[in-house]
Amino acid sequence: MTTVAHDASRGGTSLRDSFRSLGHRLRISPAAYETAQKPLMFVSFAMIVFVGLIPLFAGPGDTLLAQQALYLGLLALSLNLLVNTTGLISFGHAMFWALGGYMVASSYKFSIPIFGNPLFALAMTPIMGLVAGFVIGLIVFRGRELYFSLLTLGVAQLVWAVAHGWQSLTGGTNGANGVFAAEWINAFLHPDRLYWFIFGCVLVCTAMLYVITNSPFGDALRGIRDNSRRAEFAGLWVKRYELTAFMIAAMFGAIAGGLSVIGDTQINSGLVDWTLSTRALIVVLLGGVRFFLGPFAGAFFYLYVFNEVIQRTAMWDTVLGVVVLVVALFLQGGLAGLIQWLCALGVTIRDRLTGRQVEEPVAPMSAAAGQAVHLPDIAAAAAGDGDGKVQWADRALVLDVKNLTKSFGGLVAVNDVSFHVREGAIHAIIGPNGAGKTTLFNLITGLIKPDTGEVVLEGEDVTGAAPWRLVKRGMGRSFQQTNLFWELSSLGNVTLAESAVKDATRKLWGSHPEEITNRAKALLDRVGLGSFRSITARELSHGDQRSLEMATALAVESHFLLLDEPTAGISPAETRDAVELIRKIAHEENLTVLFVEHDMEVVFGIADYITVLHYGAVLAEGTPAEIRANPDVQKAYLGEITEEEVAG
Amino acid sequence: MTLGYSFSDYVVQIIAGLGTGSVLFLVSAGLTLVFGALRVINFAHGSLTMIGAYVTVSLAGWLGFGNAIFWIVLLLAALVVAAGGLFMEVAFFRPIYRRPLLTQLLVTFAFVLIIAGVIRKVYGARTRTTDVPPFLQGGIDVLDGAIPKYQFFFMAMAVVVAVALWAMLYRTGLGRTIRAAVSDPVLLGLSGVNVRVLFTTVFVIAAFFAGLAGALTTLQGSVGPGLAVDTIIRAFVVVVIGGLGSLSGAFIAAFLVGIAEALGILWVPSASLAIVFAVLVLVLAVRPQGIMGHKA
Repeated sequence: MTTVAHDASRGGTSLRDSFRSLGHRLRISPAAYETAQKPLMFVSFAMIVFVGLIPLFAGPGDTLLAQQALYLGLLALSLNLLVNTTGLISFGHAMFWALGGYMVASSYKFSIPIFGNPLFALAMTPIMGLVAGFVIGLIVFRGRELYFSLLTLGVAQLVWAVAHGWQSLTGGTNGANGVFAAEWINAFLHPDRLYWFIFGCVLVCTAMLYVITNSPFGDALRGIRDNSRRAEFAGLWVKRYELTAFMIAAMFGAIAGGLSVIGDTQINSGLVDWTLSTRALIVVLLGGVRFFLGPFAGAFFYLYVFNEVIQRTAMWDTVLGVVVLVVALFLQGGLAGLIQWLCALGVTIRDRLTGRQVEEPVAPMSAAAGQAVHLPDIAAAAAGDGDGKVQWADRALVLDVKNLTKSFGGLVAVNDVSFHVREGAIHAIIGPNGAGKTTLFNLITGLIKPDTGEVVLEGEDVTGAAPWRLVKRGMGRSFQQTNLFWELSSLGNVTLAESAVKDATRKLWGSHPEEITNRAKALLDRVGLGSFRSITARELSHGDQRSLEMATALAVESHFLLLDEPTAGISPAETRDAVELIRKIAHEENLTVLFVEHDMEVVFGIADYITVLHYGAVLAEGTPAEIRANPDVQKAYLGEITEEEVAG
Repeated sequence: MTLGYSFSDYVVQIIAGLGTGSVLFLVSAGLTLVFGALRVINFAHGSLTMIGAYVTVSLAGWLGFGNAIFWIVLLLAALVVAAGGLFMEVAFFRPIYRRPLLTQLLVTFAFVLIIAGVIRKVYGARTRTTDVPPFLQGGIDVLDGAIPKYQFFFMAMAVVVAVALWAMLYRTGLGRTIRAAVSDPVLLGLSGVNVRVLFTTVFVIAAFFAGLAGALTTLQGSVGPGLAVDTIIRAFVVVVIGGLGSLSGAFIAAFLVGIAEALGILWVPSASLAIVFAVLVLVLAVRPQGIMGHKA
């Protein structure tokens, strides 16, 4: 090695250099992943066919394992709707499996007239799952994030304890054994037919889950996972969407449990305890969360490999633990991620060999490059509101804030604040640091509830109403810190916001209506992001992210925009752009805008009405000219605005 | 369901519940501290307790379980587990603090599996027992029943540990930094505290008490491979009811769970666990952040 390095320093072509250049040439671009979609689809399809044909060439033992992998995979797949799509980690998903399983088993055991037919009971498991998912969801969604995970574990343990203790119903640890199916799929007489029956059921369920995952509803779930606050300000009733996802996952979990009882001809409390929940999570992890069929890959891997391991060593759980550790730490894409990577590598190698140029995605240019697009007609905007005295008193009230007070402990952050925002105004709230501006914003937008006082939006009392309700009433909000669906594309951000407020995201199949995507594209053009449609929000420059936020706020068809420091943290050049964008759009759309701002140049540049907050209370309000002349304001701002600036 | 127990039966059962709750507190105190400071929920915490128990079994086998040796064995077991905790935190937990929740949970869960396999390899699948040191043998009569002395010893240990932890948290510089980490780890890091070392310290302290709890468990009777999971699930219940990160919450909840479990044995013997989880679900339905938890 040292000689090689030595050679390199003398300028010769070293081994290391050629390795490095090979590594560089084989660097897998995002485009290669894009191209790899096709071979990946092919591989997936081939795998499905292969799995469907297993009984034709495999022995009974392997066929049974494959069958078990099918329902374990379905359980994991339904769990992945929560874990990956919605970002909820359930530690108790086995409870739905248990409910479905016991439903099928008990129907047989008790020969309840209609339910006496296990296949009918199986057909009822989805309903059981939905109902159970709803009831249990009401409990577990009391907690967020980790609390949610632990609550699911707790409720699952409760379900398990009942299954374990209620001997007369479930049989406890002995459980129930038998052929819980019609004769034609008797597990002992026709194992192959049984396999195909289960394969068919799982295939249908998988197809349904695929459609749901890729529907507008699925988009809403991804948005929630990405940024639930943003989702709420896009008009999504987050809890309801999460509950729905939970119910759907529960439904397919219950079906998987029902199938398992028919397939395994047994159920007992030992089979449905919390290890099954964690097994489902492990299978999801092993298979890879990001690829739709990953959980099945994980289930097959888990069952076949660990079947071998258990036969070879008593320390099988140690082996499993090490595998989980390695995958969790180093192989986050799981098995499917590995296959995906291999396909992309194959594409890259093919392209290099054939000399084909891989199309790089459009690099996100900075806003500076797009300035020409951004710059609106300043003259026109200025002409619109510059001259004639506007009679503000004649305008209708959009927002009427009455005696709002909020204290945190001993600190009164907002103290008896009252003010109006009139239609069509660009209304600024200013005040020194700590004056309570952002708290006031949070009170108005329903993020926190006031101690006393009222918020009236267009004549209706909306004090403490949830953000998504306000959004549906036409209020849009941006945040001091940019708040977007980071992992979604620009177009995805706008589309989701628009779809959400129009309730198009309630659709469990298909895609967003065309008029919504078209309008979203038009909006992106408006704010100058037309060429960045497929770039994820995270990759945009800060100024462009601000523009995207603006487009999102417009997409929800708000006629009343609340902007919290729209120019915070962006460069002076971008600030000018942003200000002009606000002015232009407010003017064209006849929007009412309420904004908080530090930059006095921005405030006096676009505001036509100003409220000054100081120590949580209203110090002054009036037109920019009146505020400039107000001695109290000058005093409060001494040091922030110099005399010259005040004089204009 | 058979009711018709005497007053004495209830009293005896409740005292036994306080004893179980005491051991549970020792486990949960560490779990809740680790969560509070590190924001990681450690599935393997129960496995640390199990290691403590098995190490105690081994040490008691070699050294005997005399009155004096007993204390040495307790301390050694706790120290061994603390050392194991040190290794775990430095080698495996440090890289995952910034990873997604799922990764964190599964990495800690991987240790449950790894430790379970190793323990079974070393000690076999059957349960093991130790003697009870002479000064803790026998029982104390309460009304019509008798309560083993070690139950009262557990309670005394729980109170001592609670006071010690409280003093550490509220009367020392280390405690102040730990509390600061609980309320805002990012800010603490910015203010120049070596957060890595602090996290390791907290984790080692938690492991120490988990080991101590494991050592004490041996007095109750048999030690089996199911101890890890049994412990962690009940500790989760305690920590969640008490409020994640709250020591006083864990203290209250541990006794609450201990008593609920003990009374559950009277009422529904086959499903006393169900009672515990029913308590959990009930408390959280009313107060999602737990008894002493702060609203997220």
